[in-house]
Amino acid sequence: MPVNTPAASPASFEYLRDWRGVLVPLLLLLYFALFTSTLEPLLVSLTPVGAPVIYVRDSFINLIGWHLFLVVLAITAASLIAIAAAILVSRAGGADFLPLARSLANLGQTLPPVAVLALAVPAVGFGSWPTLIALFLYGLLPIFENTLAGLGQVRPEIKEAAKGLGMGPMQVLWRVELPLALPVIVTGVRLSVIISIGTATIGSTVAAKGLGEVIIAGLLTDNLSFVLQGGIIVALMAMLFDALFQRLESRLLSAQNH
Amino acid sequence: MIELQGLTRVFGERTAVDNLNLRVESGQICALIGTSGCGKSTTLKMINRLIEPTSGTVLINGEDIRDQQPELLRRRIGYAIQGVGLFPHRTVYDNIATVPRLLNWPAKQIDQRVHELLDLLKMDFDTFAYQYPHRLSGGEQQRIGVARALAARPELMLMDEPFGALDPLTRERLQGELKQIQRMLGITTILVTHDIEEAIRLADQIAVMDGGKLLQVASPAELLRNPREGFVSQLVGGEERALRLLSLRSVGDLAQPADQFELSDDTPCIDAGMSLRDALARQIWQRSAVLRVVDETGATCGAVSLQELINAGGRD
Amino acid sequence: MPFRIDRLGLTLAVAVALVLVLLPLLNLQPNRILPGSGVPLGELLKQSGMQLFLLLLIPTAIVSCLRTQALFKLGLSALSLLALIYALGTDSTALLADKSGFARLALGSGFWALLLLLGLMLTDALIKLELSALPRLLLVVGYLAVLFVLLAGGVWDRLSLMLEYHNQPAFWQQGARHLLLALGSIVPALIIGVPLGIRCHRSPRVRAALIPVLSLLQTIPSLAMFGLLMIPLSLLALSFPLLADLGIRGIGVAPAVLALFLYSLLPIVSNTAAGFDGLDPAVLQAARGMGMSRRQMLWQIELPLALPVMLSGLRIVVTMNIGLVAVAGLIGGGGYGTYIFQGLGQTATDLVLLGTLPTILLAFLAALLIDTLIAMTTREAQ
Repeated sequence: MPVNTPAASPASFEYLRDWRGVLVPLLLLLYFALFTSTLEPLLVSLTPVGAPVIYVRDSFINLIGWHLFLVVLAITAASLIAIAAAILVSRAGGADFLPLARSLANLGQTLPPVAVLALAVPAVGFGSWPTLIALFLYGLLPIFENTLAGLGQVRPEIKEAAKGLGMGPMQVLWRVELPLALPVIVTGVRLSVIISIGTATIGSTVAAKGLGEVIIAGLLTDNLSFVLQGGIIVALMAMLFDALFQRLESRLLSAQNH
Repeated sequence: MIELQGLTRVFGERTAVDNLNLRVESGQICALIGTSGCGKSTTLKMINRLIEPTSGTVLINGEDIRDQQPELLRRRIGYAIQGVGLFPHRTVYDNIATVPRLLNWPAKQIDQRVHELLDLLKMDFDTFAYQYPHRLSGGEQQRIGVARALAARPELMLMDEPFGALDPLTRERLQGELKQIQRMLGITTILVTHDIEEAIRLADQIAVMDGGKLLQVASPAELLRNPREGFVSQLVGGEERALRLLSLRSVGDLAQPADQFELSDDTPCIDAGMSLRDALARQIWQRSAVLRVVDETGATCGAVSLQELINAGGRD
Repeated sequence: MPFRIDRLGLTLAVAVALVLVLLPLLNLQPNRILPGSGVPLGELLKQSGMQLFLLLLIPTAIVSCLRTQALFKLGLSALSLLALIYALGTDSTALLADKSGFARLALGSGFWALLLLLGLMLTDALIKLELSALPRLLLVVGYLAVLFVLLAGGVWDRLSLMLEYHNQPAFWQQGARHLLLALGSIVPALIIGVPLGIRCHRSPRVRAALIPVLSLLQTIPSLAMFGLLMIPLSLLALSFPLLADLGIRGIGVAPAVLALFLYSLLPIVSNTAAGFDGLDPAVLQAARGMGMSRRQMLWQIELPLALPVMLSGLRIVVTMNIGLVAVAGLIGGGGYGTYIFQGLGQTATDLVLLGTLPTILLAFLAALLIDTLIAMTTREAQ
């Protein structure tokens, strides 16, 4: 029978410690987003005389929502495409494409995210679209590369054994290769998400909705208070997602090693 | 001559080497043998001060090793290990030249020495000197490892399971070469091994260790004839002891004058240099109780009978 | 022997054909800002340059579909690309002949798509050629030099991109500044990061304390990092006017360099540690057993053997920084980012390209150079 123990039991402390990487940025993020006005006395000194101290053109929650919407949409699409492409080129039929795909993934790392963003503007114009496209395209690379690496590091004798047990190619893929490659794939998704959060910030220079507009507004009006608010919130958001994915990765890894 | 006196090493709670006393005469090979974790490698590393003893002393030719800076001491001692540890970013030539360069030998002298050593190990200078180690086979790498250890004419050679990672055929060939080179150069050698065959084949003196303690020190023949109860007798092997004893002596040693036997043209032959163990094997295989012993020229120089082999390999 | 089909080459060839038919190679704009309309393929094909290009492109596409000599494919696709660049340049004079003085010919989406596809063919052939690192670098640099000579010789001077280039007299200074900013922050990061990496390798406690902090820094988006650093720096400049005179101010170079320095630390530290972690213990034991001192081991054994892994950390840092300097253009850091954000502000596509293309090229060349170094240092070690 479960006893109603108080939260002070050692086990739950451990639980909290495991999750503090997630909880700390989450709580700070909520505080900064919801109660920014309580910081006004601190921020006044950074604000030019007569200018507003707190960004009011839009609510932070709304901006966070837009920011995340762009990131999640782009990275979901990128994950689907990149993982599918990596699976295809790692099959026997895709062998012609593999060397080029490998070196493209390698070359792609050298491509600056801001360049992808800038190139998307002439293609589709200003607004959220170029940002979405840039996030999508740039998000493909880490996921593609990590999926390839993850599938590549599944030891051949394991695949051999699975075949020997009578699994068909699809079964080997779904039941053996993908589960074993999953932690590495998730690492790729994490990298893409973190890069996207940063690139979406720059996206505000091409009029995408998101937290970047607070920083840009601060830069344009010399209002360091805005820069600070936008910077802190977006940094916390990146840290939060980094921590969440890292938890997921270590969960998956420890599940594999036991 | 090297002497270990009361050598002890404690790691935390565990005594890895416990009051070890051992003396190896100049020019001899001493094998330290035991299971893994018995303290044999620790003992070896205390001699070149890779590990400092908790207590006790090591004397090399009467000189306490603590009187010298560790780096300078190590440059006087050859060191060959199981993983070989050739420097992968340096050619065979540069690997061999390592210690002479540390000792600031002139380039000409180093060059001469590298030629000498490759000759000694029957490796062609032009083929091997400028290769990188990853191009060499395991056996070749280990040969270069030995050459590198010998490069600065050390007075003492320490070997830590140098042939452990090789296949049996290569291992046996290298053991033969090592013995030859060691005899030629007369270098005092301490060899760590867990392989009793290797110890018997190479060593003048075998020191058996278990749990950090030295159990018995004896010549191979003595160790096989009179092992201490317990670990040592297990190690030298119950039933196989006789065969191992036979392997220590050559046919020439035991050969009797040929006229004591009725030798026919069909009597199988054996070289005088082969071991008694080989002779026994040949007798069984050829279904013949007598073998004709021949020298290098093929001339008969005696004969050896099954009864003599039995006498030679049996217990006292 | 029957011809065998190369699936990748076939895909690329089909894509090339589709691009030619569907996307405009050139856009005719009434002036610098207004969007233009595509020049129809039929009109382009009346020009001599384009005819030459097609004459080369057709065999290139056919050869790319077959499994043949990589060298053959490489040569043909390289020539086709040069022909494309040459053709668009020479034909632009004729196409603009009867247009007003403000009219501009801009490179259209078709050109960029063709550039990409021919680039892919080139890359694929180059991989299949399996050259070792140094000849490959020389080949790529040589090809880029030919392109450079073509452009410097003025083939594209009637196209809007080059008109924009001639409008920017500071183009090369910006390039030098871009590189200086990107590399300038790496030197101190190396001086501090390499010893820290070695410390991390030797002490798990230092590693456990340091690496999470550095990775946390790495997650902070660049614009936020620049912004957050502006605040302490501008406060510093306010309190110490001397620093402000030295250029330590909230806006401009100082926050950019500081941010790049902080970002650079993680790859340098963790790759140095990983490089040292990966050393063969037998090698180290042998080195010590032969009487090398700590310093000799570090310089003669450990550093040379860890170098390839350390260099791959450097590759990450250099390419990352070249991209980040472009973002620094937003806070007045200078470099090609200035053109990108000015161009975005004025909706002048050519100015955006003038900032973006050299940024990509710099990052690409830096990566290629370091790849060559990595290959050369591992060839000896492996």
